[in-house]
Amino acid sequence: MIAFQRVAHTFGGVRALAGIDLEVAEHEFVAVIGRSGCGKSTLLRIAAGLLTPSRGRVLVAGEEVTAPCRDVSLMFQRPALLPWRSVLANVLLPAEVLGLGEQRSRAHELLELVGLGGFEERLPHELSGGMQQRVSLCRSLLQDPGVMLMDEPFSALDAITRTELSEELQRIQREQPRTVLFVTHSVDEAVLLADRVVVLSPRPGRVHEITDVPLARPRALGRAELDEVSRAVRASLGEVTA
Amino acid sequence: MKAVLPVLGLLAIVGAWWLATIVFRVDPFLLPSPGDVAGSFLELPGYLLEQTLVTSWEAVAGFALSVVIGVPIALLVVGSTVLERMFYPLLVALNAVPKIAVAPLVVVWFGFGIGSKVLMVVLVCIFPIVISTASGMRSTPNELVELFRSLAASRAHEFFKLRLWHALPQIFVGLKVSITLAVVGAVIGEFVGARAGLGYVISTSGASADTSLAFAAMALLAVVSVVLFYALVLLERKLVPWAEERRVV
Repeated sequence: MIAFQRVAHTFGGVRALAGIDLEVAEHEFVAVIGRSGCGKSTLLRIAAGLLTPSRGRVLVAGEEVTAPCRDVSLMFQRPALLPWRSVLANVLLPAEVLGLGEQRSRAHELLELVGLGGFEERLPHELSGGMQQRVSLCRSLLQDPGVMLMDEPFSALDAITRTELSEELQRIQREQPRTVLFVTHSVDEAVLLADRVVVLSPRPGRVHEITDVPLARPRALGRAELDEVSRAVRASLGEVTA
Repeated sequence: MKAVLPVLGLLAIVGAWWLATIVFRVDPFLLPSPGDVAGSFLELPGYLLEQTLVTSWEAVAGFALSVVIGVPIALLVVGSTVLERMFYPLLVALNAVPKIAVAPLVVVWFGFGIGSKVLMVVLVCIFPIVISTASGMRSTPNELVELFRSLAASRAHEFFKLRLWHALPQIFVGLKVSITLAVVGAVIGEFVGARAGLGYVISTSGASADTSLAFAAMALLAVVSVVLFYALVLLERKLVPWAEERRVV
């Protein structure tokens, strides 16, 4: 579904990414992990069509990415909600901008799905950080994307909310599988959510190692078999920094 | 309750002023007491209120015109680097010219009627509005801009659904600066050449040595400014309820 082909990127003489080759199958959940400065966010922005790579190319559904498109949604570290819009109006933003027609009932369903039914008319600042990020998730889902790019979406949240949201994402992913590329700092989160975990080495970013997570779902944090995979990923991360 | 303190402050100042005129036996020609000023007003209440309306109208019309012209200028400046490079320095230079120096010219061009006053108001008001709108739109967080780009949003969407909205709180800062300047602009225009308005009252009362009348006109000017300012504050609370909680992005 997503294919990075020898993708390299340079920012003003500094190499951020050096020859990334990576394929993500349809409905696969791939987590990308690495130290800061390994070009994780750059990778996502290239896949989203916000950045043109210096070399190489990215294919989504077999077509080269040259500009943002409807089938790919991007979710950020912070909720990135428009503070002047109600929760409902925020969720409906993609419909307005992309011209998707009437999506009101779908927006209600999505809010219901993440437990925000009844909050439609609130303004973002009236919600907690976790709730805001849920709204942001609904907004991403509204455009019904085949591919979801998530840039550390839970990293600004407290540990408890973070676990809750990971579980929710798992549930949504099981009910309606999508292709997900998920950037994170957290090994546990990566192993909990992903089918495969990609470890990037820093400066310039390169694929260091890919670890499969062959565990049945639903998964819960703290299980022994999860820890085993986490250890493997940590070891791999250790090599990168050594 | 909230109104008590400002009223108390006003009473204290007026009281001190009154006391000073009595204790130091100030010549009312130099400094009339609040009583003299009130007396002046009560001699010609209808006339003074009429002049107040003239000045208010000039200020409000010029202010509205500044918004109508200023916001699109800001949009163009933010939207096009070429236009910005071409005209922004010119705008700054224009603003640097003391408005009072331009006033006689404006009167020569537009006559003694309301036209010249409205133009004076526009000249003093437009700059803060352009600056605040432009800087508000420029300070839109990168994440929100990226969000719009990732949705393949058009420039029009980016400007009218995002940047302009984001700029609203800052636009209001500019508007509040402008509205008080608007009254000043109208009075400058009236000083230089007019047949009506509070500025005209002040300049003619100087000629007839009627200091308390001048004071009455000044008090009315202050009232106009305060009323217009707080009308904007109310409008801001209505339109920008999220601005008090700017932590959210």
